[in-house]
Amino acid sequence: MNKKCLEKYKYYFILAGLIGLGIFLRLWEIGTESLRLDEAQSIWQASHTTEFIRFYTLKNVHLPLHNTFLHFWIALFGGKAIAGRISSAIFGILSLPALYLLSREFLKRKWALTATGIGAISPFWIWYSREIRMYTLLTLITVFSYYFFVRIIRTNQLKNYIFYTITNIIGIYTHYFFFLVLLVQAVFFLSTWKVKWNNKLTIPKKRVLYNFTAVVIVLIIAFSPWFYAFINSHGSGTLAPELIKPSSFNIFLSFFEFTFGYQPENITTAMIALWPLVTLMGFVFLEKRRPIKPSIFLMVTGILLPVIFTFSVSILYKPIYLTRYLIIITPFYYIFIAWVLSQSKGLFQKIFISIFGISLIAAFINQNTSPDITIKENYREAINYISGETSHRDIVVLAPPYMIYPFQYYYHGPAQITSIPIWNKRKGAIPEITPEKLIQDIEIIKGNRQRIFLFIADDLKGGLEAKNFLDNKFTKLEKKQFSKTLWLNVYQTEYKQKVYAIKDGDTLSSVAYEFYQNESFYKIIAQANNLTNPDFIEIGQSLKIPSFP
Amino acid sequence: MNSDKNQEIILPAEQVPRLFIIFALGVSLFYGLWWLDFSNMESKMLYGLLFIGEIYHIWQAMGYMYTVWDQKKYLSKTCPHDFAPPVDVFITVCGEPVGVVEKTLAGAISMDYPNYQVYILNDGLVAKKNNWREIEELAKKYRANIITRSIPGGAKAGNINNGLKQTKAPFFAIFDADHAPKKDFLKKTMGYLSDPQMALVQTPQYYKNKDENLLTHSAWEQQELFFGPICQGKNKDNATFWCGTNAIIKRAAIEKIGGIPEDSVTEDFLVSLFLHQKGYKSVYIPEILSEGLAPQDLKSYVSQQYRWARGCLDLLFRHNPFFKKNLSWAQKIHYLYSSSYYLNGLIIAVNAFIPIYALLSGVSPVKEDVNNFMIYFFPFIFTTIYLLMKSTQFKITFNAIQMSMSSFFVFIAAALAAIFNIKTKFEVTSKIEQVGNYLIYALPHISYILISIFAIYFGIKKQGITPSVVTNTSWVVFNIVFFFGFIRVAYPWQSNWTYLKSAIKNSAVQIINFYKKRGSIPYQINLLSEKQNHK
Repeated sequence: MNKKCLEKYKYYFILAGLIGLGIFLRLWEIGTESLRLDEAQSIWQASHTTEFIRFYTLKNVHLPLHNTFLHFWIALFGGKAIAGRISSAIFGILSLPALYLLSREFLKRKWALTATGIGAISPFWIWYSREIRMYTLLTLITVFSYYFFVRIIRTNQLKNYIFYTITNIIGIYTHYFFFLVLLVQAVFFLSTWKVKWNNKLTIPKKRVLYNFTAVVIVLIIAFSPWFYAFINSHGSGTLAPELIKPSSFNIFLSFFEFTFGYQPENITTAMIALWPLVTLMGFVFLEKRRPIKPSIFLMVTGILLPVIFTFSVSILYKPIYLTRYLIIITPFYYIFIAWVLSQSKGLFQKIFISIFGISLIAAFINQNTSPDITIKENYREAINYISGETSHRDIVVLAPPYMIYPFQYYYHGPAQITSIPIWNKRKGAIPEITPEKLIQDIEIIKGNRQRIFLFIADDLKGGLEAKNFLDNKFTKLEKKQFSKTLWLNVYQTEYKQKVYAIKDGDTLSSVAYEFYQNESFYKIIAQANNLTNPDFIEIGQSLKIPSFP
Repeated sequence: MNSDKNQEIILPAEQVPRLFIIFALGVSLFYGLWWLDFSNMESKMLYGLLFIGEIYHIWQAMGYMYTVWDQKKYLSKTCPHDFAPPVDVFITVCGEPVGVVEKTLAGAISMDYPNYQVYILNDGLVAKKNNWREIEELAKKYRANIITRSIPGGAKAGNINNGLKQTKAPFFAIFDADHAPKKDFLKKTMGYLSDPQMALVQTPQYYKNKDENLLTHSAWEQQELFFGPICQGKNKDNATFWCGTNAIIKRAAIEKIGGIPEDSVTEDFLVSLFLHQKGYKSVYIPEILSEGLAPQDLKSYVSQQYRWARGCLDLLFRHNPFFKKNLSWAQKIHYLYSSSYYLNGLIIAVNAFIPIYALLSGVSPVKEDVNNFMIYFFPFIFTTIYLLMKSTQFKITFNAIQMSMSSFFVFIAAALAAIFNIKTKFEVTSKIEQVGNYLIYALPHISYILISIFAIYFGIKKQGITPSVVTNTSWVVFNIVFFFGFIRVAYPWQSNWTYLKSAIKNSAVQIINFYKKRGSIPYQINLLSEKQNHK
């Protein structure tokens, strides 16, 4: 074998090593962590029929492909957490060679391997490889979509168009944010109309535009059944999650999370405070160089346009900003980092690469081990505890009601389960929490139960409201925290009989009002004390006051 | 380097798409909006200082955007056949080494133009330089004219005025002692002077020795920015100014403004202002038509920067273009923009000390919970960086900016001298390399590093690792990286490091050899026999 051949094999060997590392980091102890709320919801949805999945995702303002896939996966491999997670991990692992392919369109082998390496140990990618949601599938499809797009504008070959179309159909049925990927491609293609992408081949721009239009028509046709169903079901109450309006800080938080994953709050704020060093890197970047290739512009557009679009819509119209939805920018973000590293020279390059590599590894280790991370939800430990503590006379109340998904997955105790507000998940949307509804629901819940086990997530809407309400109404017996956001409060609802001594000026009605807030309940007191004449009471007489009916 | 010369004949400057410049303008104004929102303020004093600094930066950025808006290249014009008026070529000499002057003279006398005379304006006698007689002999050798001044006064301006008195050609070209004109200098520049209103044709300075060391390299990269997009952007508004050397000037125009002013340090800048006031035109040709020398050691670099800063700030304080009549608004903007560049020194110093103060005192200029600064700042700074890159055809370097930032204390000294009108004697930039230790010029930078180490330690100890402490530390690191520019070139670190490495290696080898010898058998036998002898 000559030297060049050997060189090439060296790179493939390293690539295989990086993929192997990625596999290990994603699969190691993949089943040990508790199921999270979103994951539990995915499994619950996927365990139903495909018809129900379609109905439910319409209401949930999501797309059905991943849950349908999960449905068949569970049918084959069972509904345990580890099975679902492995499916996400497989998409995550496949994203690595895909990322290498995409990077090679922009960078030399050495730096494409760097980008793949970043993807392999990226704490953010690893997190979603271990989460039973569609995000790794979305990432994989995004990488392929961009890859075929670049191949099309460079070679205009039919096979690329076919793969491109198939990839995009999968994409538009995976997540609504995939449309932003297509938007980026459209904006890039139109704004670089004059650029020649291939020096060896003349590719007629108009022809490519017509071909792309044909693809768009195919996509519209493919999407129309869903679009039609969406329009029809609109208005009958939505189960869509309500997001909060983002601030500009959220943008930087997102980029931090793309780079270093989810970290405890104090580390996150301390590291974002290092932002002047990013400015410094911008200056150090200035070196005599050849003009920046236009293809780099695709990366920059791919990173910035979805963020700007999402942020603007969230501010101006309706909040749709979530860091994980913007996972579509991470492939280009990692390739961009590798490109910046490739452009620096000498000592600075070595410094950058070492600092970056070490901090990535540290971030990954910390994300894995630290319990202070907000999105680590230890449902399993909490619910096992509750299972052990509850009796058949208790009732478990969840707030917000979504928590029913992980709860049902883990709970094996005898108590009945309900939520605040009371919700039938098959019927429709979660009702609004109003003060009247709260009081009403609590009455129904309390019944003649002995204790209320209130289990809340304090970072979700409705959790803290329920806790505050119950804190004011009942005596708290116990308070316990499981992971950063999950709290268990146990309240006493059944009281032993009270005894009251009549004072000067009391009437049976006034006593009834004092204990029951309702004068007409005097009859209960009269009955409990065998009073024939309710008007005849003596000062000093002791009355039994039964507990609230 | 020959290939370099051929490639860089025209200084790089590219017309940046106008849409992008408008975008950059919008982003800069957007950034300014954050500072105008005073509800973010916590410490009035610190916020106020930063506010002034950032307004200055936005002003400089906008000035640059205005400059690069129209990069119409004026290429060299060969003069029409019937236009070849006599030209006096002046070479101003004040104690430079004979070898350097000889190269300039050799270039000057071999120019390809039918009608010119070369005059060496020798200030060596009045400036008490040793070699003025050798310069006279040099002139004799090359059969050039020489005017050795005997009555002192006015430094270089006085020298030129003296020369003008004794010559009579309608145009004169000026070269510093170390800037040797190329053959076609006159041929390519005289074409513009057929216009009777044209008073000045300026060409770039080029450093032949730019690859000699890190300092000359950085100095050249700074010139690339100035003689590239900045000077070329002045053409559209008739705001090109005389840069002291490598230019042709119309004599009648100088006479009209009363000769070259002898009371200013940077007389060239002032002359251009007066010429523009009289309505004359000037043009800049970005073609390299002469070769000069960059300052090779930190001392010469500092004195060169001091001179330029002093001259520009003098103009700003004493002849403020804003109030001058008969200048167009565009010209005023250009003069203000170029001269106010040297105010940068104060801003850099203030910006460097605010984080130190914040670390030591715990007082922050901005409220703790304000976290939207980045969304205003990042677009501004990265757009400006990209604009710099694009407009210089990606030739702008970190080194150039680093040296500018490191020169802050030089600019401050110049500003103070200009305000208090301190008279300073000016040494001509030295043309020979003086290798050695110029760490004294890096003293402010080294002390900044020491103070900041203390401040960071103190800040962490007193406040813990809060976001405020982390951000202030990052700014301190930012400043240190830039200030390192002077420290790098102040001392021959590289050669000393190599020397140190080899010294350590040598002594290590010696020690190893010694122990090897000890262990070897012949050595043991000798030792044994010696012991026996002692017994």
